Formats: sequence, structure tokens, C-alpha cells
Amino acid sequence: MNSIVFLVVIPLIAAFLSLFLEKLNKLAMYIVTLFNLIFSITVLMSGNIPFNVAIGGWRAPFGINFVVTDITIYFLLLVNIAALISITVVNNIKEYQFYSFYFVLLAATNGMVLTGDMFNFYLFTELSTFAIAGLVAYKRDRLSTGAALKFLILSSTASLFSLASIGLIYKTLGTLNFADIALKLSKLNQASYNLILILFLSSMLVELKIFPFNLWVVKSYEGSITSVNMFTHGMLGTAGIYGAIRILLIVFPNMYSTNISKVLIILSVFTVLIGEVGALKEKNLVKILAFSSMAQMGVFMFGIALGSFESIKGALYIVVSNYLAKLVMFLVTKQYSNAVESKNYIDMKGLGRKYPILAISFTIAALSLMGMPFFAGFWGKFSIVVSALALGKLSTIGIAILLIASVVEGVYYLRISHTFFAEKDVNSVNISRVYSLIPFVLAAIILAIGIYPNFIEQILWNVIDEIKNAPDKYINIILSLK
Amino acid sequence: MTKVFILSSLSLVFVGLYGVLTRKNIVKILIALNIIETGINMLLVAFGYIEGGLTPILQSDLSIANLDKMVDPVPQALVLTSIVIGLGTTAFALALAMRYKNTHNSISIRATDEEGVNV
Repeated sequence: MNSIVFLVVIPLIAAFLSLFLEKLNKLAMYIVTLFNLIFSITVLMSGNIPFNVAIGGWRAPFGINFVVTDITIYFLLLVNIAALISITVVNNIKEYQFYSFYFVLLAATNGMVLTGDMFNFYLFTELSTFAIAGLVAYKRDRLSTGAALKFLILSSTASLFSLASIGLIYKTLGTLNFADIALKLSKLNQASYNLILILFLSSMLVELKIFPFNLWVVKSYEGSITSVNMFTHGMLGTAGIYGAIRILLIVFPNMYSTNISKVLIILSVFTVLIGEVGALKEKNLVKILAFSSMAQMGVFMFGIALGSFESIKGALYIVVSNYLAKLVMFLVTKQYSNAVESKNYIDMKGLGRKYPILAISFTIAALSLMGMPFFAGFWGKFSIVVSALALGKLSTIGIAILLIASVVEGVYYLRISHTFFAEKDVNSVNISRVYSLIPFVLAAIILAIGIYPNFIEQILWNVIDEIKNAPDKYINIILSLK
Repeated sequence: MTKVFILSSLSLVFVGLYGVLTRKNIVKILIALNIIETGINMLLVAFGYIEGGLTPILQSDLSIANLDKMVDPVPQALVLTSIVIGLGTTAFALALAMRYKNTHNSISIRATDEEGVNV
């Protein structure tokens, strides 16, 4: 399966070609994204998983390698499906810069998920940062330029610290390969372990939107166009989540014996609080979604930081539900705000009566984010609550705050849904019914997961099984140990 | 000697960090970022340095006999890549700074505050 490198190479070639394609750029965007999606589905169906590709024939600890395991392939699918759904809202864009940055982002996020090398992961993270900053600045106005510049400065400062931590890893362990690091980790003393992990976390928390590092989120979301919001959420966010799972749970699994996991619990609780309280007083729908995506990342991080397998399963459910729900919400927001030419949700009053499918999809997504029973998010919050109550004082206080915060979330989301269905004359507004299709399908998937979680539960247990048996299922495959 | 390298690189990192955190002028922030980056690059090279080491190139029987005295070439390769990344960041950020000057009529990072996001 050496051809797996095409997932990174072909978007990069397309990024160069997009300088010359002019009007064909949009077609090229669909072709490359469909290629990536179909290729990853073929890999999933081929039955060869797991496998390891040594690039250039240099064996694993010495060269760069691409690894495909259960976790990788599911996240690869999530990234590429998000790309396909996001580009359906791209229209009327003629500048090649947009397409070029999009192809770079596609290559970088696919590479982040595939790579098995620490420095390579850092490079792909930097590449995706550039691409997102360029895409945010696409609107060329005051707000988006400021947002892009701030994001660029914040994330490059943070990623310089992760470069320092990569240097420390190489100095202490003599390797940069994920699997080799995990194997040799027991030789590391506690102080260097903490220093390395804290420095590396600083760059990952920027992408995961956790509290002290999330000041870029709201402005970037507000300043950019809808498709870029969906790229940031669906591609960059999902790849960042993959990085957190791979690095915190498989490469540095001893985190739970140190205080770092407690710090992460406190930070994630703060993230949830700030996200929900910030969203409560906002009127701009895009800003509300930005605050809420911060809060959901906080819940995810809380589940990961608790560290029991039950809570990790809950965190994965949160990932799936937030991934689907935010895509639905951005699509609905795009159609409604285009129709009334305002992003304030009070101006969208009455649209839900004329276009009920969009508004019902939005409501389903909102209920799922709140964690109502029979929606996908319920199973995530349920697992996290059950395991948090069993894990001591700090996590109990944390889960209490989290549950209060989800009530706040319910307040502002249901207020929006209520505004959609309130009575008002909206005959002048016109939205094509075609745009209801994708939100409706995604909302139906959320409901299906909520009512019948068994088919996704199986996938999640596969993922957790890989985390549990990391030596057998990841390390030995890469280093070809017996 | 290695200790001198590590200490000076760390002091560069902290000087740069002070600049990033306290300056308001965007160009000064970017210069401070470059200072951090130089410090980190120097740190990486210092990690692979050996006192009185040889160039890591196999050119004669003598160099093959002295493999353990060669400096480590991997951090140098990493530093080359990270210099390129730093160049990209700086160029892109300066281009954005030019547009920032056009849209805000100022190069102070605080000039966006009036949009009012109170996080």
C-alpha cells in the first residue's frame, strides 16, 4: 500500500497547478477531494489494515513512515468527508489563492493523520496553520486580516515551543518515531517527561481551542466565510483531535500518573465555562457557534484527561456528535444568513416556518450538543459523567460544572430554535430547497446514532482497543517486533 | 562549550518571548518571533554538538574509524527545515501586516480591540 502517500502528494500537486487552472479550479477541487475520499474508503475496504509504509525504503526508527491503523483510517474518513461537505458551499470564488490554500490544507490535514513521525507531525501542523490563516484572511476586510494575523502569531509562537520539545525528545531518547518514543519512554526520568509533554501540549492546545490558547477562535470564525469556518472545524479541528488522541494516549500514556492530567481537567472546565457564558450574551449566530465549538472541545478534553476507557469512549462520542452537529449548524447558518443578509439570529425570525427542514435539522443538532437522550451527544456525556463520578473529588466538581454549563448551552440554543419558529411574515425570502438535503441527512445520522448507537459503538471499541493494546496494535507493527 | 550554547540559546528564547508578549508594533512582534526561532534552532544544534567533533561526512578511512566523534547530523537537518518554515511564517505574516496597515491605518496589534470580543 505504498500508494497511501498519494493522499498527501496529489493535493500538494494540485496546490501548484491551481495557479494556472483559472476557471477549472472549482472542478479540480471536487476531483481532488473526491479522489482523497474514495481512496480512503478503498483503503478501509481493502482489509489490509493495519499497515506501515516506510517512505524511501528507510525502516521505521530511521526514516519517516506513514501508518494506517484503525484510529487513522476513521479520522482520515472524517477529515475527507468534512472537506467534501464544506466545498459544497463554495461558490463565486475566482481567486486561485483560495483554492491553493485549500489544497495545502487538505494535504496537511491528511498528512497529520497519516504520519508516524514527531517532526513530520510538527511540519504538517505548521502547514495547516498557514493554510487556515490564509483562508481566514480571504475576505480582505478589517476583521479577517486582524484575525488571521493574530492566529498566525499565536500559533507560530506555540509551535516553536513544540519544536523545542521535539529537540528535547531527540536529545533524551535519540528517536523521533512515535512508536519508538512510546517504546523507550520508560527510560525517561519524570522531570524531562513533564517538560517535554508541557512544551508539546502548548502547540496542540492551540488547535484544540483549550482555554489560555483559544483567543483566536471567535475572531477567526467571525471574520471568515462559511466554508472556511467548516474547514477550521471539520478538517483542522478533527486532525488536531487525532493528534491529541495519538500523542496523549499512545505516545505519552504515562500522563495520568502525573499532575498534567489534573491541570488539563481544570483547563477544560474553564474552557467550557468561558465558551458557554460567552455564547449566552451573543446575538451573532457565527460567534455563538464559535463559542460553542470551544465548549465542546473542552468537554472532549475533559473526557481525555479523566483517562478511564469509559470516559475516552465518551470523548469519542462527543467528537462524532460535535463534528456532525457543527457541520449542520454552519450549513443552516449560511443559508439563513444569506437569505436575510444578516448574521444576527433575531433577524432570522420566522424562517423556520417557511423552511422547516433546515430549522428542524438545526434543532436536532442543538439537542445533540446539549446531550439530550435519543441524540448522539447523550451517549458521550453519559459515559463521561459515569466515569467522572467514580474518579475522585476534582473530576466530580468538574462534571458538576460541566452539567450546569450544558444547561446554559440549552438555554441559548433553544432560544435560537424558538426564534426560528416564531411567527413573522417572511414571504420575500427565497432559499432553494436543494440546500436542505445535506443538513437533513446529517441530522438523520445524529438521530440514528442516538437511537441505535450499536453500529458506532463497535467502531469506537475498535479505536479504544488500539489504545488499550498499543504495544501489540501500533508499536510492534511499525518497528516489526515480534 | 555545549553549556554556553544552551544557555545563550535559552536567553535568546526568553528575550524573544518578552518581545512577543510586551510589544504592540506588529513588525516588532515578528522580529521577536524570529529571535525565539533562532534561539530554538541554536538549542537543537547544541543538542547534537560534540566537543571537538568531526564533520558528519564519510570521506576517508580516517573518518570511518572516528564515527563516534562525529557530531549528530539529524538536528542539523531538522534546523534546516525549521529555518525554511520560519522564513515562510515571516514572509506570510509581513504580507498580512501590510494589509493590516491598509485596513486599520495602524500597525499596532491593539488596533482591532474596538471590535469588542470580550474573551
